[in-house]
Amino acid sequence: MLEVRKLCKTYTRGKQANVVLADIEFTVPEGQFVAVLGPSGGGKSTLLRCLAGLMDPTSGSIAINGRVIRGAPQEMVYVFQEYSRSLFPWRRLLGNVTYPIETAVPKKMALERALAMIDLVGLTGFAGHYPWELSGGMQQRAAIARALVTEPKFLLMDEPFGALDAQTRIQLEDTLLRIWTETPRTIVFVTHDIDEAIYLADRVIVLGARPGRVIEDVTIELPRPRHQIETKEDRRFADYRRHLFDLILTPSAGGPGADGQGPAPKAARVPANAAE
Amino acid sequence: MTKLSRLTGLICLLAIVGLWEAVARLGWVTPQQLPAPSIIAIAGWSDIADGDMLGQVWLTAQHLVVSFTLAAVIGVPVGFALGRVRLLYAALEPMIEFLRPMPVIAILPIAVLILGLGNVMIDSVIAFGAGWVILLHAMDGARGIDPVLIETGKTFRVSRLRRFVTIILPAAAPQTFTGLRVGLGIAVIVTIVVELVSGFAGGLGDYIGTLEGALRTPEAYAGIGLVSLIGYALGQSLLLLEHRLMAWHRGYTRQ
Amino acid sequence: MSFIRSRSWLLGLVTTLLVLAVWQILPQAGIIDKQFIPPFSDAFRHFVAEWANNAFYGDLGATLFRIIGGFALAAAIGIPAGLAMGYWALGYNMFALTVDVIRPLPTTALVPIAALIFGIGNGMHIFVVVLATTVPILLATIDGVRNVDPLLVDTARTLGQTTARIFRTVLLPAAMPSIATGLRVAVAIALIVGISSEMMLSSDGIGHRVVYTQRMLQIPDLYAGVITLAVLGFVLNRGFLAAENWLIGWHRRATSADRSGET
Repeated sequence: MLEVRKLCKTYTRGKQANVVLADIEFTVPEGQFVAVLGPSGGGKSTLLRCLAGLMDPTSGSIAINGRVIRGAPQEMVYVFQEYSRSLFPWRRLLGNVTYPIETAVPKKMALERALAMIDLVGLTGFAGHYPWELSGGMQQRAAIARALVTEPKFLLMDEPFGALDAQTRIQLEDTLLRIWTETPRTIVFVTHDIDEAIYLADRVIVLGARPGRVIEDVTIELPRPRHQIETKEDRRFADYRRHLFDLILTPSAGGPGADGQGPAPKAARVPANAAE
Repeated sequence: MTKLSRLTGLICLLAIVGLWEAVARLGWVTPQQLPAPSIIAIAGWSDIADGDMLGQVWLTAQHLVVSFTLAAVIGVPVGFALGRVRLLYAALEPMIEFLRPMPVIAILPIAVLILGLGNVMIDSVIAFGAGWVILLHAMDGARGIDPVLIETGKTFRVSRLRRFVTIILPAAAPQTFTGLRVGLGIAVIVTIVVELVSGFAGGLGDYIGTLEGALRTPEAYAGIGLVSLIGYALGQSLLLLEHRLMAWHRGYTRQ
Repeated sequence: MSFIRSRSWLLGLVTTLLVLAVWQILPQAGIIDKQFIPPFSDAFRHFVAEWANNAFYGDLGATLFRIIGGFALAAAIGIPAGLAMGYWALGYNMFALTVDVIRPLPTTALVPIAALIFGIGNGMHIFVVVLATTVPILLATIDGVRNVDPLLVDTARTLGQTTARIFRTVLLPAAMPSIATGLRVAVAIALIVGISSEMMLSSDGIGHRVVYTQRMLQIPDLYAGVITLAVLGFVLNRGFLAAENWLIGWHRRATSADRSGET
């Protein structure tokens, strides 16, 4: 179980304090697929970077099974939005995928596991290619394979499909769901795409912007396995969609000077001393 | 490059040499200024056959290799330290950025004053000249690494040492190698100046200077040709090493 | 860490002052022989005094004339030649090999020969600087032209532009970022080679001045001269960067916009 308690993040530039995250609080049970949805610049990435231990929160805590974490936790792996820049251009695909485990397990085993992951993400036959010889979608598959090879309990993904074309994106969404169904693990998936969030997740946590705070926590009760056409034709899909659109696009969710107006959602208060 | 384009290039080069030969033979320039290539070749060959020139070549090559190695061995680690230790760079930033574009040869008279005219001075000045460029390139390379790569290492909880060996080193390698190549070019230029100014420690720079004094221009031209060859050979071996170590980089940059 | 970042200039200032203080105190206390390294204040005083000295202006003027003149001449040769060799494959095929042969020439070794051809003076120094800087400018220009998006040239063609106009209005500006890189390298080389040439064979110029003051054992003047060379390098570099920014500021803005659009 992943618990986020009163998480705040403030950037201080000179005398100006910029509150990016204010009192974020939620719990993710094991094996759940959670999407974090919010407008651009809403602090989604900051939240995920705090979870991944790449960034220290200003206050508040993150705990896994009751154990408060510091730095990058063992059970978590982060998949970068900038997948093409996070793959090592000097290693071939296989070398990139073995990288996280090559000091931990014997070489032969590392190779076997890496090849299995490469198969799993659908890159069979490309092990000898350099990342820059792969297309964008394949690069993202490679990044996912590299993340999965460590067999993490938690997978944190920061807008992983944001830069891909629509068709590739659909394929990757289904690949991700297939992998998740085969070996269920907790996934926290950040996106600004409403359809993607509903289609993939068990639950959508909606963040408001400036400062980023949880404005709603929506459980998606669509049947699994999901299907790109049938699921999206489901009436409930459309309802979720309308509801989330309203949340994201109403002024209370974002935009300058919108703070504190509209229906007060839970945890939307901005603490005056968020920086402490 | 196709066979035909190579041939075109070769024909043009030969034509230029032929033109040079003709101009010299027709007496449009004095042999003291620009002797004919054939005369240079003969003079150079007889000097080599004498064993006179080879001794000088050996000295120059020694200076080059010793100083360049010294420059690389000091310049690369110091550059990396400056590039990755933020506090160190912050402390030295004003001095580094002020001295970055200095003409390295400026150190020569001070080196002569303190170290005299011998081999220690020669090697130090060359090493300083090449080392400064190598250091700057290594530093810029190490500073400019994409933070996403470093963070990737962090998310996989890679130890500091392993992060250095498996991420920082390869990521900064291309620029470091550029620095080594530029540094080698500067080393060749500086070697000649230092040998000539030193005036008695020998080497091709000294040799060329002496021959000029004696107005033996063809031999001087032959000497210059030889220095070129040494510089070229060293540059090519460096390039070979670079391609061997960083096969990935050629394809990567072609993307 | 943010403390360090925001105070980094202060840290830099303190370290710089510390280094200068060491330079001042060690010779003054006699730990280092003043004959080898005079205290900073002596060197600096002589550096300032230079600027009231007419002979110094003569040397400075001569050096600047040779370096900038040689650099300008090299650009005037290298850029057009590079544009032609980059655009026409035939031109490239004809001269690429010759350029490869010339490239590793140790230009400083040509100083004595240049002296024979031109006599000791401006012509010789400029010749050596031109020889040393033309090739990097040429190669950078060829590289720049070859990397110009063919779409740009085709666009200009469909708009009915003549080849001459395409060179001036498409190829040159599009290759400019690469050319600028070559020019920047060339400035650095011009400086080293020009000063070297003056050190080897000359009766004036800052390069000659430092060698001369060393031989005459006018030690504080020697250090003042070396400081002048460092300042010269700094000023030329800054001047070049300002010119570059003025000429191709669009390129930096375009690439930084690209980068911010990416994330």
